Amino acid sequence: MGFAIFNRSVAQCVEFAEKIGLTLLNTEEFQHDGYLNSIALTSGEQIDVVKPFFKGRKYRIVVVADTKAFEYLNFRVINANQIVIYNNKVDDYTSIWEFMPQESENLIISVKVPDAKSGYTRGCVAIITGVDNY
Amino acid sequence: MKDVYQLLILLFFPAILFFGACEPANNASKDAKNIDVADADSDFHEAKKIFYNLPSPPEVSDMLFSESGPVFNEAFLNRVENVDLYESSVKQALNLGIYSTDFSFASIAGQDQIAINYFATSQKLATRLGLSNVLSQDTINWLARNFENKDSLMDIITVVYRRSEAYFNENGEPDLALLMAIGGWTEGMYLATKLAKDLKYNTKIMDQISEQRLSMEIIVQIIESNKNEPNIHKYHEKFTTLNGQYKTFSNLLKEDLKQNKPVSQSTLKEFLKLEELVAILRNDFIN
Repeated sequence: MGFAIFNRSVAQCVEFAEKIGLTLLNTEEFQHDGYLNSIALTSGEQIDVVKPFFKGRKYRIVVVADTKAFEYLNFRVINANQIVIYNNKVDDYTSIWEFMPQESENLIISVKVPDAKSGYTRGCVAIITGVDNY
Repeated sequence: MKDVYQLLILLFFPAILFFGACEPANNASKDAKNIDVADADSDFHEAKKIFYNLPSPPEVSDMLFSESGPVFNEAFLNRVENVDLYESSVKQALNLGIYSTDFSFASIAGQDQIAINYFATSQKLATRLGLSNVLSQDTINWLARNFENKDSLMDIITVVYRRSEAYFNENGEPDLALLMAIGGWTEGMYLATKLAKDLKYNTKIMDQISEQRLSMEIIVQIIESNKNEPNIHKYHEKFTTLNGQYKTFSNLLKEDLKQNKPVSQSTLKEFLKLEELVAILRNDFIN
């Protein structure tokens, strides 16, 4: 894990997502949905993932970055009515959240990269989701 | 089954996975609940980028077909012989999604030989799209190690889908990734609406189909956010019409379910319209 590495390529972010993101997902327990959602972001930037979640299933969401500078990566899960149903701030910026939707609905996983304390920081961020194994 | 995996591995194109040290995770397991985070809202602004994640072929197949039991009809699948019709990358991407769903459906139904044929066909299309470039010996070894002990063809197609999706995005072709997703989802709906008749339009399968209105809404968002991408935006009208029909059908079905009634005639009538619209779209994709 590096600090403030510049010029991340898409391939590097994909590699990071497969290596770290899928390990955190635990594919023995959760079937990956097939999307890596990995991208190089700079301090202060934001990314959203829009995805349907279906009632009766258990989901795991993993949001992770490859730089310590993004240690306090903030993600929220928001429904169509703009109600925040989860904010990882309440769990000390955890990178993993598991839940069972009460109703089927499209949710937004919104990730905000923390502002840099000093200088310009860039790193890979991955947002990975899995559902209880079929 | 082991032979099936060996053959798949020979046919397979890759997932380059790396295993090793990983960061420790804080694991929070909680039920979804509304929480007061008003103070955090000001930290979030307009998104720089939005990823739309439609259910992948294995996911949609699992939801739609895992409870359909022995119902399987090969005639519903896109014929493997059609693969040579697809010369443009657009058609190839759409049909890579379609064949991946057919593969998933056949796997769930326990039709291993048919599944292998569809896997081989997906592989052929993937190669034409340039995906064979990511094939590596490491990947083949990884598959050999991991899949001989896992009786799950679905894992294989999930890896295929993931690598394809990542490859298109890495190579500056996100439109092909979206078309693959749209093709795969549309095939799932086509198969489900066809199977519904064999299942006598029971509420379970109808409800599963209705739930996919969420994916339908996402497809409309994808198309609307790709106004400058003609290969995607050309489907705007057809998917908008389909979305409208989806809403009509879903609302009627919801009423039936609320009253604990079997599927009503008016709901069935709207369902048949939906089936027809899905078939028109799917036939556009495969021809």
